[in-house]
Amino acid sequence: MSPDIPLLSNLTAVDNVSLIMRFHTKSKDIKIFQTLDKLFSDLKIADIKCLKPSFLDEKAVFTVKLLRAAMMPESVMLIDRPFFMIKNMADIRPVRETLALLDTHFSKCIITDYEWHSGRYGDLIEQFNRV
Amino acid sequence: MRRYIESIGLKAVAKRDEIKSFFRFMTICFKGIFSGSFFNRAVFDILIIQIYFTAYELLGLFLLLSVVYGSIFIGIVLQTVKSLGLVQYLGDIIMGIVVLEMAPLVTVFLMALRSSSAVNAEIAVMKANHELDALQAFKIDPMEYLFVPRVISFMLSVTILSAIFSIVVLFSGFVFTKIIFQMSAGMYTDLIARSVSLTDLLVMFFKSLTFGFLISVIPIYHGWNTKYQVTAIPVAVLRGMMSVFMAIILVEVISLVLRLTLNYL
Repeated sequence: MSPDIPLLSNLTAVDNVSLIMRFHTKSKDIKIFQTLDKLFSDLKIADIKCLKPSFLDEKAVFTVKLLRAAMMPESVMLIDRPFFMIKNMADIRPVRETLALLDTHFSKCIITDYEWHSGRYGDLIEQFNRV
Repeated sequence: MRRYIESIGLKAVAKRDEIKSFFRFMTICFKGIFSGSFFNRAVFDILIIQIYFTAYELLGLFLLLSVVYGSIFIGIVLQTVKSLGLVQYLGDIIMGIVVLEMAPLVTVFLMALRSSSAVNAEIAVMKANHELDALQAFKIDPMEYLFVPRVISFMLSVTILSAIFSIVVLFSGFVFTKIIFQMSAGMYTDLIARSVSLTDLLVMFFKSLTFGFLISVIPIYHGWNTKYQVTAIPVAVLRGMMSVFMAIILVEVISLVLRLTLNYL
């Protein structure tokens, strides 16, 4: 996920996420949407799931992008410049908390950012990749 | 002088490359229609939505236009036929001019105005906003997910709406022949049946499919080929729509030549 890879503007938040599963997997629609309902609720963004991206704030867009990236089967998730995507975020904790909620869906995540943001990553610094 | 000739040469080479690129894109789209990609449920949903937008949503306005314009036009044609004493050619005139030529043309112009421009702008906006890149980043081919469903829906919509227009005009023709020539329903049906040939119907069918293909592929190509700038969107729509109108005229001319040739053989 990257600032250069936006959500699709003509789809709602939940459809942006479900598209990946519906296109790449053979899971039934009802199961996909039940899973997404639970994830949106767990991430406390259930109220925005039927909104289109232009109505979402920075944090909601970031969370939906994160969720969408997590839905891609058999892939490495790469988060490119998270502090560029959510500018008023103090440190990486909200992202870690969100990732923790999604931990059943992936095993590896790499974050890339500028060196001067390194102080905001805490103990994640060992995984920090300099840009 | 040399620089001037070089600039003409460069322009010609650029134009040739653009035409080659368009034909390559058109070939990929054409192959995509038969690839069966719409069996994927996400793609199938797009196909249904597109048919809804291009054909179903237009249906009310289209029927109104067919009844009003078609009836008035056929009324004038029949009046002229009567005043010129060409009653024996009535069936050929209704089928040959009004049904086989006018129906696909009116349909395609209406669809180009309403839907081609929308598709052109939609794809150009998606390109400028990097949304096509987003699809590719998630291993979703825009050709498969966005372009092919639109092309198929346009081809189906133009063919179906042309058929509807023809039916409406034929019914109006029946009403007017009853009023002007006091012709019975049986006589009218017989007259139309004798005037229609399988070749004409096939030409009309393939012409409608070709129209549908071109008025979708051309705007999609121009939208897809636009730059990553919002200011490039109006230029893409303008160029796309100009090309669509030129393609419509070209197909119409080719089909007329084809019909003339087939009638002479």
